[in-house]
Parts: sequence; structure tokens; C-alpha cells
Amino acid sequence: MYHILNNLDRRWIFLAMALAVAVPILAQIQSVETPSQQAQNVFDEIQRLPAGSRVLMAWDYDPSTEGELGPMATAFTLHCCEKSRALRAEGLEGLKLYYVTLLPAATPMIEQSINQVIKADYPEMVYGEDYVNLGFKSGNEGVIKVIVTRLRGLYSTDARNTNLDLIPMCRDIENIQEMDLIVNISGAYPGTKEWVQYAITPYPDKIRLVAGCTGVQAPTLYPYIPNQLRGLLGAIKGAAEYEVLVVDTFLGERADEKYREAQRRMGPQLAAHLLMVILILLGNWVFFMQRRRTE
Amino acid sequence: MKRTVPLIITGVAGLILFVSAFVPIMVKLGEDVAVWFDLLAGIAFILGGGNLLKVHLKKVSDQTAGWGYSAVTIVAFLATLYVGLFKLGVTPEAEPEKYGESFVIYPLSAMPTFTVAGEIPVRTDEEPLPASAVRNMSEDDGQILFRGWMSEQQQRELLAYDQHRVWQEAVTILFEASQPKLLQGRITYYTDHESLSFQGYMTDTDFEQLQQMLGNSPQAVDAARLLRTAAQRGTTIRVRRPPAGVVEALDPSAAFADEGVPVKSGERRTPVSDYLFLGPDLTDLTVYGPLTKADRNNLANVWPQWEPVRPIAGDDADHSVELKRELAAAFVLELETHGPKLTDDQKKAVNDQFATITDVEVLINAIRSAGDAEGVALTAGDERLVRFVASSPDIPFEELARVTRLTPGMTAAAREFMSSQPTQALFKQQLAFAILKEGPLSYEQKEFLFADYRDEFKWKQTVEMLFLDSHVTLYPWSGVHEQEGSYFWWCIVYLYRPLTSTVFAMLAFYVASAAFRAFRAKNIEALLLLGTAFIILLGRTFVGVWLTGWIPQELSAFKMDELTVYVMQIFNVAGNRAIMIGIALGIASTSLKVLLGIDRSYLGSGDD
Repeated sequence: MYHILNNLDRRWIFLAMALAVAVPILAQIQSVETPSQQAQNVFDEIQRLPAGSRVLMAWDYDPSTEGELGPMATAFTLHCCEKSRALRAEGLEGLKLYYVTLLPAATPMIEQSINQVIKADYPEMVYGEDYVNLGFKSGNEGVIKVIVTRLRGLYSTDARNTNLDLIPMCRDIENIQEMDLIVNISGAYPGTKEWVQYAITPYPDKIRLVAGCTGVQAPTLYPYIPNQLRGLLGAIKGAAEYEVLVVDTFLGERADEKYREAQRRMGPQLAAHLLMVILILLGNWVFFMQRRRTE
Repeated sequence: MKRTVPLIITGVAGLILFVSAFVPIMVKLGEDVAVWFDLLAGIAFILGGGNLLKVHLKKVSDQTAGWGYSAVTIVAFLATLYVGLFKLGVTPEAEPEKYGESFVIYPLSAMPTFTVAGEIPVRTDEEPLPASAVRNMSEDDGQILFRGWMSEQQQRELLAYDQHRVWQEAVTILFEASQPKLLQGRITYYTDHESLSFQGYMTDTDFEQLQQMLGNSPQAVDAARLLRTAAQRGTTIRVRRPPAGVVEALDPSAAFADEGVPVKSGERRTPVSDYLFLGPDLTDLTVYGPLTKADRNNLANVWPQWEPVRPIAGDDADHSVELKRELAAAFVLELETHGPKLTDDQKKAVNDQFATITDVEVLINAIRSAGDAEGVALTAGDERLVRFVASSPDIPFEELARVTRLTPGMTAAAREFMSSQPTQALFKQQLAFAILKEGPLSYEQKEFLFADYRDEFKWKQTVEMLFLDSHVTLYPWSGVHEQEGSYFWWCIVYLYRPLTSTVFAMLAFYVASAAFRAFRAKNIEALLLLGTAFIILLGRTFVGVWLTGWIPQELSAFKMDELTVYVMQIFNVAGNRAIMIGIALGIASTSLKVLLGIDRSYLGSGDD
């Protein structure tokens, strides 16, 4: 056994990892998620938004991190749409969603959220009145620095090149301090850290921020909780917990499969993490055996 | 000099940003500097693209190791640039196209001018007149001049420009004076495009009125003729089995009495339209001039008279549920005559689908609300009639207006309700998907469920094609390059997304291999790291909860998920804050060195 493990070809490890990911996907293994406090905080922030609130949906992730962050984007959009529908049912004004991004490759991610959730399941929401795609602007944190005081300094049109003055929900917006909440999904740089530094920190009493980020980023964002960052979803685990909260609250059993994507992706994560633990244990066993033999 | 200029720019821009954070009067200047920074960042993309080409072309040219990859990079870069820049496969945006209208170029200087006594106010914030009206407005000798026909948008923006009563009155007077007296709602002047537009088909009477409005100058006569030609252009499309309602509405036998030539003004050759014709053998549909949005809706939705799903009229909620169950059971029996019996799950899917049919109470409430707004109550007799007509598929819903004494508002509310209901064909299609989710159906059963919707969909598609064909595209490049279905979108979805995801996913394999070979408890620090890794790895999955679920509540702090939170919120936060404070101090000192010109490393290593 020792000799086998000591001389183990790395391709066997690659094969084991491939199986650990593939089998749960094919067998549709899902884990049971209990929402953590952070997921609950994010959920509550959106839930307590009053009628007609403006929400800036800053989608700062591209296809490379779609696996972790895509379900989060879907769940955020779903939550806002369901909240809007509930408000309208009471005869009140729904939420207004403003999509922006600081990454050039992220615009398809915004389109994906709009097409998969809003257009598919909330046809009553009207472009320009209930949601708008302001698209991408170059400049990374420089963009935040400008729009935090003057939106039209950079955004004179939306992503479809329509003048902001012709879009009802944008006509009266001076800057993003008028947003009731910023929802940021952060793949890397620029992302949540930049929103905290350039939007929240200068205006801590005016702007509130919740975010979802990759597992790698999460530890670096914890120091901002709870004052600068009201809630944080870390990686696919955070997405799954938040998804459970949204789906159970609004849709229940009738939820479409696309709204359970994060929970579905927890299956491969579970197997992969277990494999990692086993590999670390085996690696250490080999290490100690090696040392004993040398001694 | 080469280094001094960038040095000065950096220093000045940096100091302005720095000062603007503390001095309110400098905020505007700080914003301007930040905008310039963003513009330069945009230009950097072009420089980056040029640099990428330069580096990889050199590699290919020198045929250094891996030049093949460089060639692939260049080809991929140029192909993406080409499809994105030239918007291949992108359809024009609907808004600037102004479907249903014909255009002709007509200079603003040729438009009539309207005047009112007064002056254009100057705002204290030096904000100029709205961009939409700045070219139309001028001032001369105590008079405000407006050239052209003022649009509602121009009026709205001009009114918002200044709140003083004198200005508000002047704008209102100019708006009323400048409205076209003839062809109202059909003729428009677009200042930005310097063009005249006419909506729909232009009859001879319309043409005479247009000439009257524009005058007799050669330019005006030419423009009117060109607009008439555009507004009478014929477009024909092949059709297959048009719906009976459309055949009846367009009455081809009458319309084609003189071989489809557009009718003279004032004559009506079809019951509903004087510029839409069905061919005598019902195989082609012709429109003269652009098809308007209203007629597109008529052709696609109104004239075909697609039968909507009728609401259920139970005595109470329980009775409605019972009726829906009975309808579902009858439908199952009918479906089973076309193929094998349905499974229990499939029957449940049918039941669930029928349960979504609206109760007639919703319609009654909609009519009542409309009546309340008009101060008219719905009588018990009319309510009974509404219930009966609405829930009887054999009685055309339009009969409702004839047999009841509903007000126009109530009738409109009833019509709006019915138009919001799915059509019978769509309902059957939804049923098909719900049943197929639970199990298979035979070919005949699928045909039974899908055939009606297929016909409906095909007809709507035909109408859309006529709508687009009859329109002359104004701005072919107005669409967004990432539009769904475009070549660029295809590159993103089928190349960029899977490739980047694959690269990211490969990390898992390398991390697993590294964990086995290198993650070893060689000393105390490594042991601590190992322990933390176990906690996080297990705590971020359900296994952690499962493994430590037996720990009693009093000791819940030792549960894996709680330990994970503890590690992240205490040790991680403390460590990260220390690092962040260190970085912040470092950034402050480095920034000062850059701003004061002490650190010039960012300028490169060239000589002055």
C-alpha cells in the first residue's frame, strides 16, 4: 500500500477528482442546506426594502467564475422579482433594478440574468420602468468614484444606447447614493472590495451593500462585515443557502430547476471536498511512513 | 521631457483627486479628473489590442517556440474583433427604427417657424437648453423662435428646463402653435434625423394634405413625392392557410376586384383595411406602405380570433375546483383516444394545469372595479349573463357587449381580461410540456396537443416577417453587438464561456494533486494550517454538519459548521485586518512618493 501511494501517478488523482465531480452531477446528488447567518442577513436586507426601492445590481463576474457565481446572480434576481411581485400584489410599486458591470466580459452575465429570470418568468416587468441594463464602463474603481457623485458623468445611455433621460426609471437619478441597496457579485478585481472602498466608505450612511463572491475572495471580505458590508455569500455554499431561503419563501415545490442550481452544484463540491480530505490524510500517512523508515 | 510631462500629469491629477476628497468645492474638478481617467482606461483597451497583435505577430514571424499558439491567438482575436465590431448577425434595435413609419430627409431650415414674445431664460447653473430642442430654438429681437413641429418629448423637457411661469406659458403657446393642423398623429418631424415621417399607408387625400402643409417650394414638393412613394411601397409575402378570421376580415374577393392595385382614396375594398390584401387563392398577403404596429397586432392577434381559455364559473370556490377536475378528467379521456393511457403522474400534471384556469370571479371583479371607477354598479342580471357568456365556449365573447348593459369601461375591462388569458392552443401546448415532463406520449397524442399551437405560431411568424419586410431599415447597426443569436454572442456562449470555465475548473485537479504531495504536517505551523483546512473543507459541506451533528447543544461551538464560522470571523478577520492596515499604510506612502515624483518606476526605464 505504502509503495503504491508513494509512487502514485498524478493521473490517478486527476481521475479520482473527475469522478468525484462527475458522479454527483450524473446521480443528481443534492445536499440539505441550512441557511447561515450571513445568508440570512443578505436575504433580510432585500426583504426589508420598501416599495419603489432602487437596487443597483453590480454584476462584476465573467464566465470564468460563472460556476460559483451564476446561481447567485439568478437567486438575487429571482428574489428582487418576487419581492416586486409581492409589492405589486398589495397595490404598491415594485423594486427598480439597475444592472451595471465593471468587467468587459460580464455583460453577457447580465443578459443571462435578465433573459433567464425576468423575461422568462416575470413578463410583467417592463424594461426601462422596472429594470434597466446600464452595461459596462471601463475604468474599474474609477467608474465607482465617478458614479457615486454623478451617474451621467459616465453613463449617458443604457447598454442599448438609449438616452438615460428617455428611460423613466433613470430620468431622476443623479448618482448611486440614491440607490437603496447595492447588490454586488464579485469574481475578482474590480469587485466587492472596490465597491466598499469607493462607494460605501465615503457614504456609510447613504449606501448599503450586500455581496456574493468566490470562495477565494471571501476571507478578504469578512473584515468589512457588518458595517460596510451588510451580508456576504461566500462561494457556491453561500449561494445554496441563500437559494434555499428565496425558493422556500416564495416558490416552494413549484420552483423551476434553474432556481435550485446552487444546491445541485453542492453535490460535486461535497464529493470533491471529501476527496481532498482523504488525499491530504493519505499524503500525510505516506509522509510519516517515509520518515519512520528513514529513521 | 518624455518623462517630465507624464510626471506632471500624474502629480496634478493625483493631487486634485486627493484634495477633492476633503474640500467640497473641488469635488466637481475631482469628478472631471476621474472621468478623464475612465476615458483613458477605455483607450487602453485599444493599446492593449495593438500590443497583443504586435507581440504575437513577432512570435509568429520569428517562429519562436509555441508560435502556433500565437497564431491561434491572433486568429481568435481578429475573428472576435470582426464579428463584434461589424455586429454580424445583429438585428437593429426597435426604438430608433420607428416601425410602421416611412421617412424622407428634409432639412430643419425648410420647416416653418413659430414665434412667441419673450426671452430664453439662462439658468444659474449654466445648464444649456435640452439637447432635443436646442437646434429648434432661437431668440431674435424679443421673440422666442421655434422651428419645426414640437414633439411631446421636446415640450416636456423644455418645461422642465425652467419653472418660471413666463417660460412655461411660452413653451405651451409654442407647442400648441407648432402642432401640424392636418394629418395629426400620422406626420412627424424628427429634428435629430432632419427627416419627415409618415405613419402607415398614404392615400391621395393624405398626399394632398401633406403638400398643403409643406408648401410649394421644389424641395417640399420633392419631399412629399418621395414620402408618398415610400408610404405606398408594396410588400408581398407567401402565406399558408391564413386563419378564417383573417380571411373574413380582409375579404379577398372584394379586395382583388381590380388585381390588387391599391384602392382610390375614400374607397373601402376590404372590411377592415384599405392597404392590406389577401391574394385570391389565399397564398399571399400584400401590404402597401409599412405595416403599422396596430395592424400587426390586428393581423397576429385580433382578426384570427384565437379562442382564449374560458374562465370557470362555479357556484363557489369548491365547485370551481370540482369543475376543473371534471374538465381535466374529460381531457384525459380525449387524449387517451389518440394513444396509450396516461400514467398517474401524467394525470396529476393535467389536473395541476387545469387548476391554473382562472375563476370567473376574477372577471366579475375586474368588471366591477371598472364600473366603480365610472360610478356604475354591475346589476345581478348582467352578472349572471357575464358568467354565462364568459364560461360558454360556444358563445362568442363579443356577444357580451350586445346582450348586457355594460358600460364601455366595463366592456373594455372584460376584453382586457379575456386577452390576458392563454389561447386554447397555448394551453394545450403547456399541457403537453407538463405531461411530457412526467412521461412519454405517442406521436398522435403529441400531434393532438401541439398542432393548434403550431398553426398559431406559424401565422404569427408570418405576420412578423411581413412587418419586417415592409419596413425599410434606417439604422442597420443600431443593435447591441452581444444580442442573443448574433455571431459575437455565439462566440461568448460557445467558445469564451466554456473555455474560461474549463481553465478555472482545471485548478481543482492541480489543487488535489498538490494536496496529496505537498500538504504535510512537517511542523507545528503546517499542522495548524492542516487543521484549519480540515475544518473549512468539511464545514463548507453537509458532511461537516452530519459528522458533528451528535454534539449536544451545550457544546455546539464545537460543531463543524460553527467552527467554520468561528475561524472565518475571528482568526481570518484579525489576520486580514492586520494585512489590510499594513497595505493601506504602504499605499499611502507609495502614493505620496508617486505624486511628489520621488518614485518614477511606473514611467519605465527610458532616459529623458
